[in-house]
Amino acid sequence: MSVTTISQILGHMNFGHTLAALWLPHGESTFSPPVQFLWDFWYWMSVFFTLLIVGLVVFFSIRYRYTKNRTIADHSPSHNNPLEITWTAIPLIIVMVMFALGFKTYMNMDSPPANSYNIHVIAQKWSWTFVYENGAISNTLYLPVNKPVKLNMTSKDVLHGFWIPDLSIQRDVVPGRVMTTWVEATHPGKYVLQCAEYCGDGHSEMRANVVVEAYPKFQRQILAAANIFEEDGKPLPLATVGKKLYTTLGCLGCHSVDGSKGTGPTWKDLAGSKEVLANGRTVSVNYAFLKTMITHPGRVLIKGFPAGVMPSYGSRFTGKNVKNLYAVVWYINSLSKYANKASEPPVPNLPKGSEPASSSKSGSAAATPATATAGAKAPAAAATAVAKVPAGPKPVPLHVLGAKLYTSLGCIGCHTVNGQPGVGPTWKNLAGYPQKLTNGKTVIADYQFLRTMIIDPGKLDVVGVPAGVMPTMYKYQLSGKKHPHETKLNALIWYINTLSNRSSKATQPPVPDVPAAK
Amino acid sequence: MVGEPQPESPNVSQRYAGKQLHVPGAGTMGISLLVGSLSILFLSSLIGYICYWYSFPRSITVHLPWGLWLSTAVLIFSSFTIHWAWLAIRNDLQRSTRIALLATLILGIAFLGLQCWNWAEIYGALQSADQALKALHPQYVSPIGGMRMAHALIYEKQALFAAFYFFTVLHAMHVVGGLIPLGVVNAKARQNVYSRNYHPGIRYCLIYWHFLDAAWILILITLLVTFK
Amino acid sequence: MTTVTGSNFGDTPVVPAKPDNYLTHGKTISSWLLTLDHKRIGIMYLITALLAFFIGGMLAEVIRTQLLVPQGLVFHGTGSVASSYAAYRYYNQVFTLHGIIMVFLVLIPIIPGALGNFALPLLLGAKDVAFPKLNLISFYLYVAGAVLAIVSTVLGAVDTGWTFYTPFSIQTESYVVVMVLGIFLVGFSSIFTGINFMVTIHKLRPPGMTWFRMPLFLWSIYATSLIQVAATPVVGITFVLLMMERVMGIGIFNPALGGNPVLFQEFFWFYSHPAVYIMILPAMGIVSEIIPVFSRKHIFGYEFIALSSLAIALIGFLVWGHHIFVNGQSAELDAVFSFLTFIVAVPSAIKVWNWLATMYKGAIVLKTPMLYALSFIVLFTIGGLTGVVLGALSEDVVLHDTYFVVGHFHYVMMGGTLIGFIAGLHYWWPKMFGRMYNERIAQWTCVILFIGINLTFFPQLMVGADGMPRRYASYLPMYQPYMIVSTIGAYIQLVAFLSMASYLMHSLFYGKKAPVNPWGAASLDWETSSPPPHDNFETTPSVGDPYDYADLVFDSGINGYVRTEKPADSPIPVTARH
Repeated sequence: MSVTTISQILGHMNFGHTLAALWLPHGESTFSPPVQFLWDFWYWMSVFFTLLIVGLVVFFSIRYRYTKNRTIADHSPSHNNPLEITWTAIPLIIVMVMFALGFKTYMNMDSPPANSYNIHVIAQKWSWTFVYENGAISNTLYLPVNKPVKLNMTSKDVLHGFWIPDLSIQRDVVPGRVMTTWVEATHPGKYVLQCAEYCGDGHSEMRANVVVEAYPKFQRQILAAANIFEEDGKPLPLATVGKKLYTTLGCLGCHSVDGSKGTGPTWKDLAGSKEVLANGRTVSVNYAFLKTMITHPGRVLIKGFPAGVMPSYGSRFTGKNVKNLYAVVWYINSLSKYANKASEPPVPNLPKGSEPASSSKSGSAAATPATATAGAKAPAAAATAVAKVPAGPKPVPLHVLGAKLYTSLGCIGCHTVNGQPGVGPTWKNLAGYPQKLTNGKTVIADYQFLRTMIIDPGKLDVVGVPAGVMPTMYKYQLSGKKHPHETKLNALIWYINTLSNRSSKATQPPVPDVPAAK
Repeated sequence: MVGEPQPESPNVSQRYAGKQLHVPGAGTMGISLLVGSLSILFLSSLIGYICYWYSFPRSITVHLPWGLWLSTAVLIFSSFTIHWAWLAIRNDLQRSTRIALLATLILGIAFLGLQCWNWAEIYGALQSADQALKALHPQYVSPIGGMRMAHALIYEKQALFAAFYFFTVLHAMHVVGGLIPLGVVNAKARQNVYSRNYHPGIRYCLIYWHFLDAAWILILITLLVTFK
Repeated sequence: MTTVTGSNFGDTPVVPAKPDNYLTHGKTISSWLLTLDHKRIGIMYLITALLAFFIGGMLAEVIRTQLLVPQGLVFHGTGSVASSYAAYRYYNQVFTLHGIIMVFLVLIPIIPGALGNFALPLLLGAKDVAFPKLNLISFYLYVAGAVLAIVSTVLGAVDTGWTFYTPFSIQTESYVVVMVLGIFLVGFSSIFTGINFMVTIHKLRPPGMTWFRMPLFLWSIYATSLIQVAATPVVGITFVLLMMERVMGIGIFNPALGGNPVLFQEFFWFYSHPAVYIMILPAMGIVSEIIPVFSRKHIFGYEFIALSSLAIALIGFLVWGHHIFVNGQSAELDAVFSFLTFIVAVPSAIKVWNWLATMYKGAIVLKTPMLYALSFIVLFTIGGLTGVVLGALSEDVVLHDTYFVVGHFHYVMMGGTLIGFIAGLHYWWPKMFGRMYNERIAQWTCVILFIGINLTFFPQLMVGADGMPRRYASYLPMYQPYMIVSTIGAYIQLVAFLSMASYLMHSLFYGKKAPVNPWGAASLDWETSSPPPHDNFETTPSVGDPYDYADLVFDSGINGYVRTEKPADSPIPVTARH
């Protein structure tokens, strides 16, 4: 899945560049010029010293070679302190200059500007997923040109390395914390993101395309990317959507669709067939079985496939995202010659009519038993990744906005909404429930508590939640002088309330969920 | 130095027969370097534990078993007895040396016995902490195998559990490693091998035993601070 | 020891020289396996480490062959993505094993274990190291570690990379615990060797050999031992914690249990960065021995070379953080580590300048050891300079975990440590086995190896700067030209090593008898016969300046150097005569 073209290869071979420029890729971000400058400084310094040393070695070996008439060294001193001090001081000065230059650029790399566009990066074995401010999800990283973008990165499993050579940025993605970096691309173009930190079998294929475009085009792109269930306004067959998810969610890393052996079972002829479990029982692969295998991979073990390898996709397939499950299971069915009624999901493959994928339709999905979760409370506009920014006079309920912020602000990286454990506490049944603090007190998770936890996470230590993991930046993104009404904050808390069955006046924000019509 | 082994001793030169003479001071320097190396091992694990401990909330109170004080007292006392043995042999008091060395050996074994008791005690304490957590949080799952428990509540208990056993067992292994040569030294002392001028074994055991003492006190302080 | 001959005491007269030497001193297998003789232990280290090097080298050739084509030539899928991932696991196991073998079983023990053991007591004019039994224990701990590494590979090859980064190493199904236990044992072997050598240098220096009249190889071994004793316990405890993490789930490095995977990296590199100096310092010591001998001139700036070894060892403890600049340390901490990293570059530069100054106005003999020493200077210069740019914070961001890093450390490890080792092996070979090798073939082999190394690793520097990450089983097609050149270089290296193996084997049986002092070196190891007797020295050698070659003249009759007349009062001034 390389994006390299012949012209790109030729670009690398451009002999118009200096010798030094042949080494580093031609950088296309604001970091690239200082990085290139220091590189050039080092490069020519190194060329000079290497040639000097090689030259001296060769010259001495020839000029002072051992001959029959010259069997012992000429008289020369064996120490000379001024000389020693000179050749200690010169390298010292050079490296100190390099240190200062490198440090200056690095500090800039470390501090993202306040007006940055936020993109949440989710790394997992072995795929990249990008969540944009509007809730769109894509596997291609779209970046606007000449606008700083802050990347908040989380990993679902092991260490990964976020590395775009052409944009001169790299940051490791460490599981259990939010890693940040930022970039401001200066030229439109197509680049490659590669995983730099070794992460297992598919490490070398863990790439993503990076597309840098002008801002308006970028916005159109992420709007289009926001809705995977439709194409040109028409709903797609769920099996087709499932095929997309097969790639975007990274299933392809372990499961083949042509019967070949992989880390996990192949999907070819899986649905409707018989599988032998680790405990020796034989079961038929029906819908319920597939659902369990996808949402709770640890519960049933298939013979020959060890436990703990399949990542827990948790919230990506349950609750409001149950349509993803239907899509993937439809796709698995489409690959099997044994597919039958029992192995098919409870919703038809091709959605009826041409009604757009919005509230009314996913209402039908919510009617199926599989969606009996708290997420069903949230109206279906939040379903999956539907993120059409609601325009027009109709006011949007705050909790819908909250559901979108949940993905775009990156809460999704640590908090689940279905009760599954995560890095941080799950949001399911959080509001209104007692929370034990490390100082021994127990408090009810009311509005004030939730607000403090979001904007000032260091203030309260809740039992079982590691300190220092939750980022403190939300204080500035959601509250403070720039956000006097705390609309986004209230939206998040409203969303958390919808996920709890103990939501009450005390746990809800002081503003109504549905704003009064203007 | 007074306590240095002397080359005249026939035992030593025979051992290196055909090779070189025993090197004065080499053994003491060797054992000091080993102790230095092991100190770094203890220190680095303590630093690692404190870094880890810092990152999670300290909410569970697990009381350390009072038997720890007993074992501490026994270990410190054994440090005195081995010092006594060293002083005795420097004055050529063979009988006192033998008694002091035997006392050290017995105290060392007693220390290990007390530690076993402490391990059982703390196991009980952590079991009840487990019960308390279960009562407080219905969604709490008891750890099975340890590998796939992701629930945030578990690791705190897990960590205290692990830290206690890690440090005490690590230290106990070093005590066992010291008791074996101490046994050899005891046997040699019974054969009157050591003299005022030649007692390397006692000297090495002395250095090692003081190290065990210092390491234990550091561990105890760390456990006291982190278990509060 | 079953048979004991010769004198017990240094001051009693020794039985006159018989053809008996340490190689023929005992003929039984147990006289080798249970020997306390430092020379035999050194030879056993040599054989074991070379065996490990052979396996690691073959794995390297597999790696290079795999990378000939973008999708992988050796391990590749059958069309689907999932099948290729399953195939790439084998590649991951291969490079992991290559790294573990080369680092822990070859680079760390090979110079101290093989050459250090053999030469250190000889350089001191001593009969053995301070603790011969401990020396044998070290060797067997090393063997036990190597055996465990093989066991783990047979059971289920480790695929974590030699760095064992958590949480991947906690989750992978392979036999990490067994492998890590093996490395733990090798670590203790390293600690014991370090203690042994430090005590030996402190306590067994002969009268007259002050600290600043020791051969420089001893200084570098001393600095190495210091690191071994002080840093190895940290990796020991780290690996114990990793084992407990896997077996019991203690949580310290596991983010799912609130642990900190970066803490593992801090601990790991606290050892593994100084370990780089464990590898390179002895090689620098060897080069410092060889260059004056083959320049027939006193070493230049003795104190600066000696003290720079210590400076590297000490500052080397404080730079581990430069491995994890992009892993989420605070920027301030990054800055401190970057600063110290630049500082530690300076002592290495000092050494290079002093070696060059030693050659100035010398009478340079381009025999094989010298050719390797000169190769060392050139390759280490490239390795060192590429390290300097990695120390710059902003440059590390664009080079971290790329092939540039791979090229850099292979220049240092292969072009530095290994070439230094090979130089030392050729230098002490006549002393070890009493035979000369074919000089002409050896010189050509050196040239071929030099070309091979550059052809292998220079393209890696370029492709890395261009953006190719390391540990990739497959890659973007635009990197292929570099990869092909690199693979050709690896095959050239294979040819050179096969040639080296054959002429060295040939010399063991058919080589010319070596004289006592074939190179005209002035240090004590060349005062005894080749190979040395069991007791090393028949008479106690007298200590002079180890770098004074004035009274050594070539005797074409024995094809070696002899001392003309002993100057009335050694040491004579350090300057050479015209």
